[in-house]
Amino acid sequence: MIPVEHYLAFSLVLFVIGAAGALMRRNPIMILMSIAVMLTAANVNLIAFSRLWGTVHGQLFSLFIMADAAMETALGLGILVVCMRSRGARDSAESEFSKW
Amino acid sequence: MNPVSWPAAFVQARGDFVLLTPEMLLVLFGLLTLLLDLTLDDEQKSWNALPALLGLMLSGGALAMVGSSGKTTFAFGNAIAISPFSGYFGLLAIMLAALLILICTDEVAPVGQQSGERYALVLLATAGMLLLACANDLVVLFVAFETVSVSLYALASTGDADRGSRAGTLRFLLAGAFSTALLAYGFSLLYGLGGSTNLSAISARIAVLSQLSSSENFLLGMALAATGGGILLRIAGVPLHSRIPAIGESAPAAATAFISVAAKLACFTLLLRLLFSIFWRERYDWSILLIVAAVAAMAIGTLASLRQTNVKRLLAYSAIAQGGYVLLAIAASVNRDGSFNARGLGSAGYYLLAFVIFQLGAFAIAIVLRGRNVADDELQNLNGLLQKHPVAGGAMIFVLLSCVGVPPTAGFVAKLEVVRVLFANQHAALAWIAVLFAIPPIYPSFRIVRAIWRDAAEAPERMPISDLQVVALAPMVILTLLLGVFPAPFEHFAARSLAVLAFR
Amino acid sequence: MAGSRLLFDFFAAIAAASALAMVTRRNIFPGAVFLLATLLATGGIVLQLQAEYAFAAQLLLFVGGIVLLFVLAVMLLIPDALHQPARFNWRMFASSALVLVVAIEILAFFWARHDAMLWPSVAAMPTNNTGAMGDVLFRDDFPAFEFASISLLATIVGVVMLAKRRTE
Repeated sequence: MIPVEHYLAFSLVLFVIGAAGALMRRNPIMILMSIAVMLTAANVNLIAFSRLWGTVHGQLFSLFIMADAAMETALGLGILVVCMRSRGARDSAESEFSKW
Repeated sequence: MNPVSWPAAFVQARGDFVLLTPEMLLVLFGLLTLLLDLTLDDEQKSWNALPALLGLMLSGGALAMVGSSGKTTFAFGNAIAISPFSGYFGLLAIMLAALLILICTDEVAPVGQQSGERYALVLLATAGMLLLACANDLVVLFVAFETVSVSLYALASTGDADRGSRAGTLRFLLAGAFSTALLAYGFSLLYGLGGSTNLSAISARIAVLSQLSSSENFLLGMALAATGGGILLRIAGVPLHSRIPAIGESAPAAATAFISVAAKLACFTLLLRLLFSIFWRERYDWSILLIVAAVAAMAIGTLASLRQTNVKRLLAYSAIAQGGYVLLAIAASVNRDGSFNARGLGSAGYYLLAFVIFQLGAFAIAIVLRGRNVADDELQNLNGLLQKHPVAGGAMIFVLLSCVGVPPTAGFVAKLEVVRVLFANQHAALAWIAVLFAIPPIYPSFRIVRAIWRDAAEAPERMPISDLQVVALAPMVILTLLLGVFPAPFEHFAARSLAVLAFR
Repeated sequence: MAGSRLLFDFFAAIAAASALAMVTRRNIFPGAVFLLATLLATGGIVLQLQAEYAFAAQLLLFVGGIVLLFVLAVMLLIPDALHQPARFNWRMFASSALVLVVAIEILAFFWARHDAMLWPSVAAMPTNNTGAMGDVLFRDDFPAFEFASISLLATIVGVVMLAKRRTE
């Protein structure tokens, strides 16, 4: 196995990219995608550690994280679609969600 | 891992299932509520409260029975730990849900038509909170926390679709998802350090690590930063495109009430669970982290609430400030010399108890404002409430006093206790900050009280307060008074329950 | 072994580059495509770590579910999704670069002070991956399994409520 630090480094980079995207982008779809990347980074960590320790708990945890990502994405996109539909396509999605 | 034959595995697990009865009951009755809702006509929708309340009562009873031994019981291969801690927070969660459903009955259409789904979501969220309190494993913690979160997102998105923007709800979801991702990353690091997802196992391994390499300490620090950051962001409401008060635009008052309290309760449960077991080695670090977050929360919540005229947002912001007090209390449970201070934790637990009661009571004011139009949340619609409904108006004023922290209410005692613990711990500066931040909330509350007190001639048309809602206010008033006048037994109970955390 | 190392580097590079590309796109649809690339590359890494079930789940859930949802949402919201103001966001670029610099610093610290970590020597994985996961899932993490389905139920309720037409 490749030394685990490499996996840690890779997942950190991925996590940071996702976090930057989630913080800096204003379009909610893009934010959700960035959060998915962050969660994927956590998954990579888990699976790498799972391989290291020889147990499957990490892989199982990653399954639940995936399920959670799906749930949040589904709800978030659902709310977005309903929101946009009732408002019409007058403005771009960014203007509404850029307020604090 | 050797596979176990299935029949043997089930027999082994059967005893464990009994320990999860409270959660299972809540889920069962949540489903029943959903099903029952299908059979009801529009006018009968308030009957939905019946299975929900029944489920809550039964679950509370089961919780008392399960936790009655007073010792810590492990189940499911140590993934579940039933202890006084889980009993205490389970009790808080059930109380929260029960009070909310009592206030909510008789909601007017069209919102009342969704009551079946709403109550079901409330019950599911409560089940998640119960599981969160008794979880001893990272996976179970995560899933329970997400059950609560997702139920709250779903709850926030019920509501009248004709109301303009749901942007607030979406922002709440995005901020929640972001902090969950942080949390997940922190958990993954903890798993890597500990070699297992079980909290006890991880704590044991980390204790061994104390003499060892700096890289591992660094990883632990990163795990603390990620996990703590994820949780504290949710509590402190630091703007990440969102704050919970933003939901107030599109979600009905009852949903906002539940969400603002339940989200905090879940976060505190998780925080307490982790800080005193795994991260105990880093307690100096996280004390500081908590203090910073506490001051931020109090500052944001207090300052933002001063300018609000929308009652829901005002209360939601003040909830953030209250969260700051609890954070201070938790920080105070670590003495200067590093030992564990049970009184600090006890004051945190007591504050949460008082918080659940008076926050919901205060939101009852907002719920009463329900008209057919969400614009009715403005302050001036409260005018003349005291004259028309003296009992309800008086009860609300009393609960509001507790929110602010005026004697002899529970809120006052809670704040006083936190300040006292801080002084006792030689955190004098923090104690003065806590006292300082207790003063500004008086102003917006005074505005609310004044509005209620005003002459009825200025009052606009409003829906009447049902008797049931008045009945719902009664336990809140009684509890507030009781906790305010006789705080000692409750404080002892809280301290005893939470002290279990120290011996994980 | 050099081959597996090379494979990891390849996948990691693709994943990181795709993620970076994703967060810097102006239009969302290319962003979704890059998300797909990131997830696939990460799946490759997962598979290399002998986590077959997780790999399959990644493909089915993440790629087949979540990316699909994104694409669907993008298509439903096409006027909004593609109508992006044509300006380059220097602030975003600068802050992303800053964040990456911080991350690299953390990594540098990490490597520079690399004492012998107390990682165990790499243990043997159970040969039947799916079976082993089933063991843990249905025994130790059983409450998690059940409550995952409950949270899914909550999601469904929420989404159905969103979709229901108001009769008012």
